[in-house]
Amino acid sequence: MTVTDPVDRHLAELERRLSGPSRTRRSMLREARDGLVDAVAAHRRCGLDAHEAAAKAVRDFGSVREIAPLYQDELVARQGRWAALLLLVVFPGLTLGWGMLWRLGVRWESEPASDLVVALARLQDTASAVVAVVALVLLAVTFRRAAPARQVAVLVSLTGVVGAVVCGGTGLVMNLANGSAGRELVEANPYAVPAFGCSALLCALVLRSAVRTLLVAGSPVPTAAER
Amino acid sequence: MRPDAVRGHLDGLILAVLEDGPRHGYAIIEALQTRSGGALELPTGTVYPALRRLERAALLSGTWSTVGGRERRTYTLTRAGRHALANQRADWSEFSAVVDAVLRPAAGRPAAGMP
Repeated sequence: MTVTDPVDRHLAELERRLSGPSRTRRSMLREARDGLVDAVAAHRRCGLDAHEAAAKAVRDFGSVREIAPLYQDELVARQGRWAALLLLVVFPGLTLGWGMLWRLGVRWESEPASDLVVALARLQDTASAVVAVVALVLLAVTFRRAAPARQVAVLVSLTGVVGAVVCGGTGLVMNLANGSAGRELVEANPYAVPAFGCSALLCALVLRSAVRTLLVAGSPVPTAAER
Repeated sequence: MRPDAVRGHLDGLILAVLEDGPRHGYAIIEALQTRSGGALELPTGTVYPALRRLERAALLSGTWSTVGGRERRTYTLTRAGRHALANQRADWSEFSAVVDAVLRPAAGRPAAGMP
């Protein structure tokens, strides 16, 4: 098919309007193309020439303004699901990982810890657990057909941002509050730097996912007047 | 039939045409048109996002497979999908019976209870 083919033009316009997880987007567009190719073949069997058949298939498919919001809603729902799944893996993973590292000796030697550090550690564990529970609930909501995809995606994003900022921030403050003990830990324990680096990377990954999900959820939808 | 009238029932209609076996997207559209006697005037482009929505809800499973020498995305009704279809049928029977009872011309109705 050439670039002037009505099917190609229609799909290019549809693709231009969509944002979301690239694998799902590609798969949905490929499926739409397959369907349009089938429709063109069916119209050709009924006696239409190639161009008329392609034009009729595109007309029957519906205008991009009418169809794109349906595709975009689905992409937003999938993006929200992936983001919720990431939270569900990262936050319990960080809690379990640091618990294990603590037992393996990746900890400050200035025991007993100050009241501030104990309070921050509790806040971090609680925040992590709350994020995991909220993520699980939101993940379950994505299995409902009638769930408001955009609102769910925004909630997942906000949960991720709050979780990353609270958990990352408390971790940073705890190390600063311990003064030289943090530096001594890094110097003495070979696992400390990879552990801190991995935690920072996961927090950055959560923030990146949250921003991306917000952008996908906020992607413009044609107004009723445009459709 | 106007597309707006169909849209709210599209999920149930799709589940119904997949009841007798897996189909790819265009075959589902053809089955909808055949079973409705050509009365459904839904834009075909609305069916594909609906299939993904049903798949996300675990009522359908979708996989890319080779059909007739071409790679197609084929959908199969899951156990949850069969259950949802049964519920949809029951809800529709109840709803249509109620609407039918109200819309039926007075001559066809049983005598009212007023003395």
